Amino acid sequence: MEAIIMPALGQTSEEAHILEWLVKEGDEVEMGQPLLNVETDKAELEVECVADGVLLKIVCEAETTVNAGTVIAYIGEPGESVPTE
Amino acid sequence: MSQSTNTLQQDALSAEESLHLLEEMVLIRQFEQTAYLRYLQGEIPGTLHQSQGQEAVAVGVCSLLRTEDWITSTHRPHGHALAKGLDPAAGMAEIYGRETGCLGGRGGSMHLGDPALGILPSIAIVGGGITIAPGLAHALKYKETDNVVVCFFGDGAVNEGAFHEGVNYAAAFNLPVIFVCENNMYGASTPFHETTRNINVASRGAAYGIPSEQADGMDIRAVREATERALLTARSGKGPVLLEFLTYRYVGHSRGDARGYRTKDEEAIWTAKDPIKTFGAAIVDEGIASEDQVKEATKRAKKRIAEALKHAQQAPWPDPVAALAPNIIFGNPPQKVEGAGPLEEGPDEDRYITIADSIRETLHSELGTDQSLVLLGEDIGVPGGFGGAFGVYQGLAEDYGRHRVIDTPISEKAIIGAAVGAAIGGLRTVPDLQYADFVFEAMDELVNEAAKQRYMSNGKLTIPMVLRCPVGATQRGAQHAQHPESFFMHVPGIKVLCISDPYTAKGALTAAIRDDDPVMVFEHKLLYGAKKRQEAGSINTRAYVPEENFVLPVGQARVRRRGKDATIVATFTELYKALELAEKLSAEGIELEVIDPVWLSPFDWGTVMESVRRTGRLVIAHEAHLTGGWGAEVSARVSDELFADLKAPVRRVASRDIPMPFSPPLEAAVLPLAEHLETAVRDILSPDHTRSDKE
Ligand SMILES: Cc1ncc(C[n+]2csc(CCOP(=O)(O)OP(=O)(O)O)c2C)c(N)n1
Ligand SMILES: [Mg+2]
Repeated sequence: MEAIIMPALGQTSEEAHILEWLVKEGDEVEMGQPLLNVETDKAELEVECVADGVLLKIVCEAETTVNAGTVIAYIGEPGESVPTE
Repeated sequence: MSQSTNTLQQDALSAEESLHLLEEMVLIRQFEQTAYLRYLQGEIPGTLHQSQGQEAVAVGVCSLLRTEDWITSTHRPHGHALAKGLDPAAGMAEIYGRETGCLGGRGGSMHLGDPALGILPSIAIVGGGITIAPGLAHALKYKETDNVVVCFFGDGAVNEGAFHEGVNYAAAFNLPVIFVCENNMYGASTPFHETTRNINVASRGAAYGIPSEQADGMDIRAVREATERALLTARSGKGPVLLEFLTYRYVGHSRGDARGYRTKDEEAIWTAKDPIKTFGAAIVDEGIASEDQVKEATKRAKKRIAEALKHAQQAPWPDPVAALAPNIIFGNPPQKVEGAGPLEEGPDEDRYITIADSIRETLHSELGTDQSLVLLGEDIGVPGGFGGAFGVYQGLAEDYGRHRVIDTPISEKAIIGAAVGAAIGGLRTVPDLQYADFVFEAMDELVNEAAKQRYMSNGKLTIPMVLRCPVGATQRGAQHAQHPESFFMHVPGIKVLCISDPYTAKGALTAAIRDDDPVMVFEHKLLYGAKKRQEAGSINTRAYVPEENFVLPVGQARVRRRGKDATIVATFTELYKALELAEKLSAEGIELEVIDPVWLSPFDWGTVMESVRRTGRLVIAHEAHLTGGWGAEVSARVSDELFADLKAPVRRVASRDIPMPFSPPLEAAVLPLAEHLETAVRDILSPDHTRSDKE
């Protein structure tokens, strides 16, 4: 299982605002695929998927603002259990 | 400029070959993409310079090379290294900074390499490899192989002086180097066309009289065709070739580059030429391979990178102690030595010789015993020429031939770069600089390359070379007078030898030549005793020197005179002033101990500390400038370690911090004089040791 963290994308700020998720829990995803759209101090950007597998859980929903380094989702094999908190 | 394309009948690539090339390109793309995404996840330290979009150049060129051929690469080396055979796991672990990385984590993303695979740890100084490649090629040619060196660099590098010196040097000596410029139109964010009037890099080949051509770097078949022609030239002894491949990097210069200096339209034009997609489609269209086969090749490459990633993520961090391992810093790490005593008298009147003669004898005899030794320099072997700036090389070319005593262009960067490259290729060289002042021309080759290659290669390379640098003021003004030895004491990885007498000249120079590390030898013009070049102020340093070569320990100081009242540590002319002063004060019952450190690095701390512990007093004397001179380091260490033993402050006598003027009375006003030394010694011997000279 892979914890996906919000990358540091901004020029001056650590914060990123999640605009929308482009995939939903249970979807198969692959490396390089756009997962979500975010807005930073710099621009609107896509965050790409860093692993192959199934999107097990979205931790940070759309319309939330998170710091770089925050776990935003988990990717893994179907049926794997996701850590709570 | 460009050669006709039909000199070489290229057979169509087989399905197997085509799929292999495709797989190798995908391997690089996937390596880069994976590293990029993992970097964003915070798993990779530092930064990354990546090569997505440039895969056809790396794979096209390297797929035609042998393991025994070498490549030099740049700050953007991932593709080159993988294409030349680096295991992706070793590459990924290296950029993760892990112990199992190809260089044990000493290099990282900008320094991938493995000498066993012919991949020089890549050089992150723009243009840095261009002066190294010719020397490496020289070694391959000297050993009578037909192996070649491929030197990769970007468009940014062609406006470096290194490009001019390196390409000209390779051309002058017909060396088997293929210079490969990956013109991706930008150096960092600056468009290439803003930096030069001549944006056609290939056309610059004409300036050096070498064949060159420009080709589409997005088309692996075009890359291979151009490379095959170049290899034909280089392998057959016809010398270097310059290739320019037009290409594009799809990503930012390094991490954190949002590419705001490029237009989306421009990026789209180049995205349409994607070297992987176009080649994959072409081989399917042409019926060379099936779509399934292309998919399979892609899958294989991705699987290899997935495994490499897993390896890197799980690999251990290096043990911090490994950073300090002496045998990684030096091929021959400094040993504990016992200081030598005063020079001995010899039985044979004829064997009292000058420093110049002693150096000549040493080189003559080492050339005779070591076939892998060559001398490099300006005016050293030309028949009827100078025999070196101070006549030291006279007769050597006649005895050993001009392929061993090599006259170079006036290209200091290229000379030192060639020495570093030749060392990597297994030769030993003694490059000569005429005047030490010229060393500043080649600081990059010395400090960034010679001093670093062993460490950066994780101890896989040794860089034996002995750079001769004549120093000292001899009424020639500010640019033929300097003492740069102190600069190099500051550089880990370089050894620094100062020759002040003929006996040490032979023993220490022999040791330096046989040593596996870069040694800079400083020799004072007024101490040579060369018949041809008598200078005002010359000092007679003749001493007994045995005829046969012998080796003195590296890092050994010499106590020239023993005494109990105060210690003087001095080099070159100041050493002789100190010996004279000791003689004079001896008549007054004051006994000075005079030490010639001989080596500034490694420094014989044991001998100096032992002496000062006994005498409790120290004066350091050198012709190098006072501020930041090597005496400052000695003073600091002695004051720190022997604070309780010192009976007076440590004093330094040196040239004033002023450029050396020409006119004799002006020169004398800047140089340290015998009276300064005497005053300093009398001061520290006086009961209140107050400073009596007025600065
Ligand atoms: C001597 C030197 N100057 C500047 C730099 C900083 N720097 C690193 S890469 C780069 C741009 C190099 O451009 P180019 O040679 O075209 O290679 P590319 O990055 O396009 O592959 C610069 C300026 C450096 N590493 N070395
Ligand atoms: Mg460039």
